[in-house]
Amino acid sequence: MSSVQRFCAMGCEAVVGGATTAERRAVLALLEQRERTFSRFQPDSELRRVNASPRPAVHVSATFAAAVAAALDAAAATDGRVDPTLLDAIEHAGYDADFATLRPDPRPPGAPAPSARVGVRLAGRVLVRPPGTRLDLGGVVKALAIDDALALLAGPGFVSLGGDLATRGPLDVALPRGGAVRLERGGLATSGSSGRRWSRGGEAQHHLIDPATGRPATSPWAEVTVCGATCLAADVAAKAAFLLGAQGPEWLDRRGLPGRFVAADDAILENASWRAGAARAAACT
Amino acid sequence: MASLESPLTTPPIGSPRRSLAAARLRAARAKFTLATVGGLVFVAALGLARGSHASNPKHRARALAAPPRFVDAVNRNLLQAGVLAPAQAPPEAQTSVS
Repeated sequence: MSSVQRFCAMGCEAVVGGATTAERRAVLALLEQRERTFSRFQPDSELRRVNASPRPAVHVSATFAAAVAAALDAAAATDGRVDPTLLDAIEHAGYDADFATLRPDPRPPGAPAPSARVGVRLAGRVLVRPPGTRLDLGGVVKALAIDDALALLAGPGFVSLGGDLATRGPLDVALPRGGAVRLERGGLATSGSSGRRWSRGGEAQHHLIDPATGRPATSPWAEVTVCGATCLAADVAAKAAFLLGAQGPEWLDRRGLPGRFVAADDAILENASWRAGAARAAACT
Repeated sequence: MASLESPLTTPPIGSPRRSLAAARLRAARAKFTLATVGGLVFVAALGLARGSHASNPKHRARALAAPPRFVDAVNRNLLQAGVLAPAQAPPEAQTSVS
């Protein structure tokens, strides 16, 4: 993939490889459209409009409905660990403004907020949810955008956004804390608490909320990287594996998902699927 | 001389009255048997109808739910693995926490 183009989108650095100029423009337009639709902080975003609506049933756009469906599927596939109804919890932890503007706040975090996922339903493009339930689709929107952007490329290429990526064709990828791997096909995503951190009440907070406690999760891992058939699969699995803590590697192995875990002391653990995948490919070459 | 048979006494064998009484008893038994068999047939037909007719509820109503194995298979389809290999060139991209 010779041509690699970089630009800023959805508050992250986007990297597109193997795209023509027209395809790059289409990718940028798609990412900007997703930003306008799903931003928690743009006052005119569809997410803000839906969350502000007092009606129990709201008609949403096709893009919004697809994201809600993906979020509900992700929640079901992870036994509720990746939950789209934890907006109150993340705001109570202090992430209530654009991350770039967050400053240490001496006030203590707000009360933990429980999940309301079981009451959220989607019937076509009608979203039904319990009164007062607000959605945060950030757990799936970026990965979905990457997969959709990759579909805009006619030939081999890749799309990377804020450290998550999907490729069509082999792509060598640098890994957290050193090392590299070749992604033959699919997506690669890294989730963890080392990136998006802030201070509230003198305590470090992060954006990965444990649905069981309604608080930022406690995990032995700083970062979890997962290889999935799509970026969405990789991202959802990486978040779930982080939240599962010590059970994360085995949970991924049961699903055949390669995972690489970086502990707080920088120790690196690769699960059996990650090691087996690399060894099988090496044996074939 | 007219017969002075008492209604309280058993008519002699072969007499018309005794034959009539026996016939009435047989008729009563036949009616009882027919009624019993008819009732049993009716109850059995009722049970069979309730058990096989589509409009009759045979079980308690319960919410529709996909079998757990099906749900498990769908979940596994969402979380499919990609394909990895050892790196063979300088990285063109990187994965990291954003």
